Amino acid sequence: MKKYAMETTVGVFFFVGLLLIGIMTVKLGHVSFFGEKTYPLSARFTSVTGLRVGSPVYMFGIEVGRVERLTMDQKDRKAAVELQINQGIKVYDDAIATIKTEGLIGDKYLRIDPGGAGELLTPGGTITETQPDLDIGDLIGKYAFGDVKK
Amino acid sequence: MKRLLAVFSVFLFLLLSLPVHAGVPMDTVQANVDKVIEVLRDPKLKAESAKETKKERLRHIYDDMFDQVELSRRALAQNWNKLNLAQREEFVNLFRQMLEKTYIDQILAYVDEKVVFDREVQLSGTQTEIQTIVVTSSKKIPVFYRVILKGGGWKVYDVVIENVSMVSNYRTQFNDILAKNTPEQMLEILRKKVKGQ
Repeated sequence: MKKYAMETTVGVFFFVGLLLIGIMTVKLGHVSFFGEKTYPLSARFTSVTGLRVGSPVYMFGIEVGRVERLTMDQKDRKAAVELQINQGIKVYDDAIATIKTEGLIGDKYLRIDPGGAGELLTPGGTITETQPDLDIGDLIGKYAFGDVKK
Repeated sequence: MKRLLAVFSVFLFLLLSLPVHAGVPMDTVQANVDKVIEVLRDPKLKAESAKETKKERLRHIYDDMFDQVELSRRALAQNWNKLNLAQREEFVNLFRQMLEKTYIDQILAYVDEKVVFDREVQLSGTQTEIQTIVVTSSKKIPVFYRVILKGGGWKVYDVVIENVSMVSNYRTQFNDILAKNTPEQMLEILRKKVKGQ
């Protein structure tokens, strides 16, 4: 009897341990067993400098999705971004997607102004109004040095 | 048999000619920009006294070229629904006047800049982006016109300069104003701005 009690205890601990590891993995690794319901949207930018697969999508400062895929359209010279947005978050066809930087030199993220005076975007829809990140270096160079001739 | 072939080939020809509309958005924008440059370069309108005539002509081209209602609706976005019909009408009008007051001097300061029409990129079934470059003596400024197909014609609903959208810029500002003011108060702010500035 004692032998069984010991093994059972070890077994229970082991099982609990595995369960805890599983929960940690879900929480930390953003892996979802039950499939956090999301729907796809896409947007095209002239540049997505620094945006990565997995970069967050924010709306009003709250995370509402992630970047799923980044592909290139060389014909139109644009970068196509596929997003997964949480179900229940409404995005309209006059939404504006902007790439922003956390702070001045931090990670890139996507900000969506959902719009609201147009049609609701359905899964697979495209956000047509997009803005790449402001390239401060470019702008300064252009306008600081441009005045030299005057 | 021959008749059938003829009908079929006419049908095929018509089908093949459908994609032609792809060039129309750029042509429409280019025609309007050319008209603007023509007015700005007109030697008969160079005098200070002709300024009002110049502005009137430019206003006319603007009304033809831009869809002010679409532009205004997008500048307010979700807030558009907070305005009743009369307020929307007044907003569209005031916004146009405010834009004129803000940009007219810069436009009239045209010296001899060249506008190069670069390419046309489709954004959706009814929206296209016309990419142009304004070449000044010292720099090249990318100016994109976003046009929408409405009532058979292509009208501008946004201008993107150096990758910064005008609609986006004003939307942020109007969002801020309407977060602290009612639509009526916002209209009052615009009325004062149009009169005073």
